[in-house]
Amino acid sequence: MQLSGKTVLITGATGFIGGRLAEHLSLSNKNVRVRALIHNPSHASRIARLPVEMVFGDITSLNSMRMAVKGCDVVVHCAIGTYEVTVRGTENIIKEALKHDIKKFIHISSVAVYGYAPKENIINEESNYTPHPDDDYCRSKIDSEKIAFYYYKNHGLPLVILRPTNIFGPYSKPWTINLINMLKQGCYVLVDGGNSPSNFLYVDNVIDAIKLAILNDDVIGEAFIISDNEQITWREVFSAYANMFPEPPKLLNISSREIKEERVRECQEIFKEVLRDPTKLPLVYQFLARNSKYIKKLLADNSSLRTSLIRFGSDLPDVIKDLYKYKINKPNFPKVPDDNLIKIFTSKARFSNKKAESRLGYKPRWSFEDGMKLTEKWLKYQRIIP
Amino acid sequence: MHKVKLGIVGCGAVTQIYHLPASRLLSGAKIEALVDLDLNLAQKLCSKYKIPYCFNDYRKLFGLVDGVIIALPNKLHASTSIEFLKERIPVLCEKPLATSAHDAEEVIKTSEKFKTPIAVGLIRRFYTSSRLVKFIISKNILGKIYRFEIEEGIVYDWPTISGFYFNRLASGGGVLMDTGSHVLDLVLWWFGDNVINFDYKDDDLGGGIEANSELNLVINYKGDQIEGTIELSRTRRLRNSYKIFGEKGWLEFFPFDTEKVQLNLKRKQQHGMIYDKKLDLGGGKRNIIYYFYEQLKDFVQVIAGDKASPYVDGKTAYQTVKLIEACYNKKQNIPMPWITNGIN
Repeated sequence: MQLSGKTVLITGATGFIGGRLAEHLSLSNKNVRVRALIHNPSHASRIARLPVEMVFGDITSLNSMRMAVKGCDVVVHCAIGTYEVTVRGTENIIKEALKHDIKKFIHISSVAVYGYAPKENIINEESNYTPHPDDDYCRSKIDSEKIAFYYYKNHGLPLVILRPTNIFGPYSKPWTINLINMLKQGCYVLVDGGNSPSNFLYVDNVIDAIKLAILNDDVIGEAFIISDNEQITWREVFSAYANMFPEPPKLLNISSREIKEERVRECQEIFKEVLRDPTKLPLVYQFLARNSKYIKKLLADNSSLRTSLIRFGSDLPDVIKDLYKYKINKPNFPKVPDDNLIKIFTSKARFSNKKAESRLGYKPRWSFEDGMKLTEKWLKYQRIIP
Repeated sequence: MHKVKLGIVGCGAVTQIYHLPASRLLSGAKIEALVDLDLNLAQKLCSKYKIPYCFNDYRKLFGLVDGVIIALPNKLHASTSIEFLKERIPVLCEKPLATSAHDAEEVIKTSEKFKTPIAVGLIRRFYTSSRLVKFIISKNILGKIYRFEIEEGIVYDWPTISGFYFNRLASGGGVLMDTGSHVLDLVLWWFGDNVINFDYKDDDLGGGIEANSELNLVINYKGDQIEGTIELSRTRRLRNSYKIFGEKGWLEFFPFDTEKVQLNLKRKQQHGMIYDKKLDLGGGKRNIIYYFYEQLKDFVQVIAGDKASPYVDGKTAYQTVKLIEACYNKKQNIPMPWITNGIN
């Protein structure tokens, strides 16, 4: 299939991958029409700069999706949200894609379908799903894939699934912005020396893979892991980020044995801080949510309780706020990473590109070093690093 | 006593968050009617604020109200203002007055022809802090002014209902048209509108709605040249202050603080100049709703004949529209090497 003259719908167009894809497609080929599905108009600043058609809609609404998909040739589905939004939204967009005779449906999944700490050292497309009962992101990615495959097998959806690894680059929240903030806040960023593979992948490599999936007509019904071939460790990742600072922050290391003791110490500090300043009660919620599956579930199931805890400080009378010199607290990163991040930081698993290379013709064009150079320029422009 | 009757056309975010709450503070005037294409929305607000009339056609206000507030998408400001002015109904038009200099001129001509005032919602002129800056500059407290540096940027989260801000046909532009209307108005108010030279860059890549703008300009102020930089953003948190430098010191104005200005004055010493006096001026606790009330009060006074013209009228606002248009006409791209499509 050629892209020229086609209309491509991107869901999640205000997000990290969707936004970059919209930039690339709309700017590199004037004959490609890009339609960006936007849920929240307030988040459309980045997209509105581009020569794209913006449609405002809710992926959980079939009516919205009907309007969005009509007239499109290709759908690249990047949108995620809560578990409900991700899974129901995926089914909605697929149903409308089938009704409107879409030529290609690219579903952006993730290697999270294999869990955060796969047992095998080399993961390929034949490896099993590893659902995490407590992790909505993993579950939603697995269940969305299952839905997509169901519609491929039973209704002929022209599906290709891409499972990228840990994507970094401009606008990446989990693997760029958050890691920089962890460094700034003096968190433990290296676990057991940080020598495990990061499986880091520059975003433009994912964009290349998406384009190949669109253009290649022989890969319908297949899933591809998208990674790169460099063996970059977490230590190298954090060193690269640290060296972007005028005075590189120290890379603090913690061993697996020390994690529990450090968490106890953190807990004691938090309670002391809350006793001194009750407006910091949200810190307790964050700590409990990170460290207690029961508490996390309780709060997840009781949104009003969760909201009350988070907003506790905001709802205090002004006189109390003045007394405690209250200010809006953004949630700080914990000094010790949470369990899922520790699993990722210590996992020995690497992800194989072989199938993508042989079947898609995929080659990671952007090296880690080149990706980091561009990311640094963006971080400085954004004033995230000085 | 006759209360001045006002209508509001457009029930979007600025009406809901600012104009309606501010109108509750008015005595001597009341909101008589709301207009919005979404009649349900208008009805809901009428019920909440006990407003007698709601319509989905603004022409229903003709003969019903003494003055009108226009809070529509930018592109509709000029044409809608003109219609009311022709009916001799005074207008308070949200900024910008128009999205082109030509349209702004048409509004002003209509206002003059029909002898009906037009006020423009450049609210920051009402702030205590911006008036303090005007006072400091006009009284030469900083001495000869030679430079200003303005940065204003937050990650955009305005609760737009229509989303018109991201439609070039409706908005006329991005951050320069939006935030820039306020910023440039203050600059031209403080230093005059004799802009000698400028260069302008933004990050619009064909969508028509820039998220980042960079303007360098030189203004002739009382025979001296002032060089200034203005950086605006909808995707980055910037310093959010305006620094103005003179030979005797410098001041800092904060666009999100309606009350405070920080003044730093030099004291001459034997071995050189040092900054000595640092003064925090202002510091009251009025929030922005108060200033929308002040703006409404000013407009009501014009309608009632207590004032000849509004504090910010069409001619005043025209210079900003003209400068914004000139910037867009001379725009270059901000370098963004991370967008690797060969466009840099």
